[in-house]
Amino acid sequence: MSILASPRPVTPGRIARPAPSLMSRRRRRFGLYLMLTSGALLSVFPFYWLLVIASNTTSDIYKSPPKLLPGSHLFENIAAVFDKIDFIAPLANTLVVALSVTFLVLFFDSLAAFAFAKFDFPGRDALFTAVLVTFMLPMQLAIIPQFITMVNLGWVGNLQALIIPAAANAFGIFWLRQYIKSAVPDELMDACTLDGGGFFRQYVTVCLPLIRPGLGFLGLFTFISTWNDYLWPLTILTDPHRITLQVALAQLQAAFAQDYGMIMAGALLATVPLLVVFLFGARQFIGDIAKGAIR
Amino acid sequence: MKLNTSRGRPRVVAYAAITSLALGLTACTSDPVGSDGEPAADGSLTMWIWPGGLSDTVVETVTDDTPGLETSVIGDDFKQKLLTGFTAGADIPDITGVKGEDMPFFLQEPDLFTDLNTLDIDDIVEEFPDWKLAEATTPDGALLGLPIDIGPAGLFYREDVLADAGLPTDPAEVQAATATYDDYFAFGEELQKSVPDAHLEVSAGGLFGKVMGQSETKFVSPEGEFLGEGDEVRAAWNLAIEAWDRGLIAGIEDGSPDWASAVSAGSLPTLSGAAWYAGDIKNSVADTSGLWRVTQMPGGPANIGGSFLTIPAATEDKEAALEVIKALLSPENEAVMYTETGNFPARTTAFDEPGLHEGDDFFGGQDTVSVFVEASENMPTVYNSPLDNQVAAPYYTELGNVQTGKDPEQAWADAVAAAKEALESA
Amino acid sequence: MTLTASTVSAGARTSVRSRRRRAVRAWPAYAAIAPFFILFLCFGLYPTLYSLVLSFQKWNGLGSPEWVGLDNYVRLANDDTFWLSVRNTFVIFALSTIPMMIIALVVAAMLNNAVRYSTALRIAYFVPNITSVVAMAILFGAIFGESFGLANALLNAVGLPDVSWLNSPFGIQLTISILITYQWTGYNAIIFLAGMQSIDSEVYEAAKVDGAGPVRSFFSITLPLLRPTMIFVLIVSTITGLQSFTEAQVLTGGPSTTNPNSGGVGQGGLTMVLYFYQQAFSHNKFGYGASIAWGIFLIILVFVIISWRYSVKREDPTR
Repeated sequence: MSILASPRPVTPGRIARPAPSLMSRRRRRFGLYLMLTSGALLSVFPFYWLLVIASNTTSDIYKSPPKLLPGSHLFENIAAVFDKIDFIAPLANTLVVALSVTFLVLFFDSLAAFAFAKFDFPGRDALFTAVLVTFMLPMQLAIIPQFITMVNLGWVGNLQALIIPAAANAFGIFWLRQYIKSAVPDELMDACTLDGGGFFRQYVTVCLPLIRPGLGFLGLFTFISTWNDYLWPLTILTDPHRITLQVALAQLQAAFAQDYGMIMAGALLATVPLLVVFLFGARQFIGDIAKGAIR
Repeated sequence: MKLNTSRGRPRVVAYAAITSLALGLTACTSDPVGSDGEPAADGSLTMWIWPGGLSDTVVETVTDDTPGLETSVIGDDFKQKLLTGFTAGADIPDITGVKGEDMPFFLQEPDLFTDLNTLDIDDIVEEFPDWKLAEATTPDGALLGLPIDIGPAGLFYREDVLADAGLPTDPAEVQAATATYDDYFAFGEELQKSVPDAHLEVSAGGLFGKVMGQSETKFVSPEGEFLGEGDEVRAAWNLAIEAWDRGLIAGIEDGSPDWASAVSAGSLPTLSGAAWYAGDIKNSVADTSGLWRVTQMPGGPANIGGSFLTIPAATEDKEAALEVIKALLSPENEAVMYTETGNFPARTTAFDEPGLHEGDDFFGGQDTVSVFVEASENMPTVYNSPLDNQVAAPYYTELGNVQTGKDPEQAWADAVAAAKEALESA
Repeated sequence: MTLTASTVSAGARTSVRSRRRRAVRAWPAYAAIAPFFILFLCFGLYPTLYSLVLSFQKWNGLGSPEWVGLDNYVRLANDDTFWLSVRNTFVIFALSTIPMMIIALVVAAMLNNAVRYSTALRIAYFVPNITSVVAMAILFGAIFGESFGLANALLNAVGLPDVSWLNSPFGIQLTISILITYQWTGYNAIIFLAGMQSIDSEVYEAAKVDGAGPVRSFFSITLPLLRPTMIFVLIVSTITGLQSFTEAQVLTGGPSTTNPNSGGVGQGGLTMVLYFYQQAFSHNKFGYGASIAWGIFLIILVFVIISWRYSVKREDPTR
């Protein structure tokens, strides 16, 4: 049940007392929307405030009481970001990492999920349990040895240190396996087999086209979380020309803590691309994330 | 329904997956690969520095003369990034800054750096103070870095706020009125009579650190003994507590946005700190330009910070790297750096540069250099243990706790215990 | 759904020979799952096992490691700062999870009754979750600035005094909790909402016939039937909440180099993972850092098991 794509036809007074008057029903509806809207405004307010601070001068920001409206210094502050640090490289790096990880995760996870969902092979269930168990291993436990592994591979400071370890994950396999089970009918698989198609042809011609929406969700999910990743990039990246956006942002803040207008302009720049990407797929995304959770 | 069978190739392929597993494993356990990264064989040089460590203008000037030079400004925890590079044996810059407080740590690992005595530094080494060079010299006599700047301290103040409070405003008079910490605290109470929300100092820990900067000893002796219970540390602690009890401390984090806001609002009209602190002030409250003055520190000269330029051992063209360092530290460039960032030149010949004494508009045209030259002539020089940072940390933490209500004696006992533990476990 | 291949397997008494043949024939399936396992062995299992070895060693990352036996663990057990970080983490966890669950339930219940603009509302509630923690933590640093921040300005406007948000330990914990609550409430509300919508509407109709009002049916129908969803949300919140790092690191990180990653005033923002990071990467104590990581893992494991068993034991009998 995709809760966003097709909202259930809910009768508004479903859990209302028997036969309320039209007036009180209206009043209640009004109260409901008033509360929902205020909550939603509170939820998006920080984005407005980000814009307010990013568009005022630093000395205006430090005035009390604070200015409540956007100012006219947005572009000056953005220019200051580019002046203080190399912002293009982190942006490009983040794009490279997020896109590569997304692509690899979609490929490897769907391949593995396809195998787990549609084939019986010795050890399958044990291996799938193993996938689920890897879920439980917390990242920070492995971070020091992982760092040492990167040292041994000579990857410290390089982007592949972010891409390769993230190229497949248990969550995606688990999620796509569920998806494939319900989205790919056995009949089509059989038809393909009769045509002489093997595993990989079935994967390409039957499975992939049918799970495109599922891949869309997983792709967006992976892209967003990779974009926002912080602890591991912070640990492994050194050269400022090869850091990601989140690390650059944190460095900007650590180094120029007082110049808020400029830092907020940086935060705005790091946020907007992701917001745009998200809003494109938001409807389906929110539905799918809930679906995965209550399954 | 059939297993998609039979089109399988021979057994060899069947084991491909297993082989690749094994391969993958060996890949991760193999010994250091390409451990020296990409050596700069093309004549390019990389340099790492933190923001404000060198002046932008100077870096630009030197880069114009050295086409291959590429500078990376690293904003976060600089020492950590450098160590990551060294641990990885890759991505190490050809030239790197090392902060004064981190130098004792790196002196323990002299093999990571080039001993500059093995290069041709005779023409300039004389022009740096011996005590500062000693901070970068190992017990075996290897010199790991040349100093960029030194940290003589002063008392910065807002002339307009003091004038409004009816207090002296001329640097010499302010100095006379704040000669000792007793005088300074009384001065602060006088200030608060007319500016009630004003504070003298930013944080108890900050004041403690500055008093320690005036001290002849630190937390660990050259023999490795614990000095954290000694008179010097205790005296610095007591001063910080006294200032806190008398309501002279704002209780915020130095350099934080709250700090900038308070400085901008005039509720921190006096700020004591090293010469480079002027750079922080200029950056955060540019709109108060012209209102500031500087004079000598209460309680005598202090020595706080001051950093180095080093050449890591892995650098291929050490001569070229040294040339860059020499250019960056030329008297002319040291003078530019002071004007731009407040980093006080380590190279004494820089004081003779014309223009350096012309006066700084931010300080209402005051000749600030002379203040710091005077301070630097009487600065205490101390032994810095590689463990100082770790041993000192508990004192700062506990002073922060005092600010939020902890009993000072309990805090002292806890700080001493934690500092001892830090020394023993190191 | 029956699996395509399962019909082939001739029951449990498959001979070893045919099992092997089957395994050989299924090579594409093994190849398909191999990348995940290779990556996991290299970057998951091997580092985890290595971190166990490392936790018995003393190593600064530059020289050679020294075997110290159980020293690191003994030290960990007696390390006041570590236990302080455990306490901080749980305070932040409680301060964020409890309001988050309650608000998320209320929002979900309201969304469940809203027909118009539901897509826009859902997106608005969800959007804080996709924004980077770093950017939001920086922004919250400005909102909760003591003398210039919006939060104190609002408090002053209604006649309340300034709160020392980022300059006192509890203030720091409160600010971090508000940030976490802000970022996760909408996400959890959407998940609760999905759980609510999977409840059969006939159950509500029946309750209505029995004369149950909306509040009663919320407590006696919605909440009990939502239990599995709530368990999921609680477990996920526990695992992420007890590992919080970025919020604290960015909010308390300043330009001061004397004490990097120490969690701000009074170490109020020193969470378990931040302490781990400080010891391992700021102080270069890789061995001790590894033992802290195992300590954290055990604490989280115990806590998850407790909350799991507690919730399963009280599982609604109708399920």
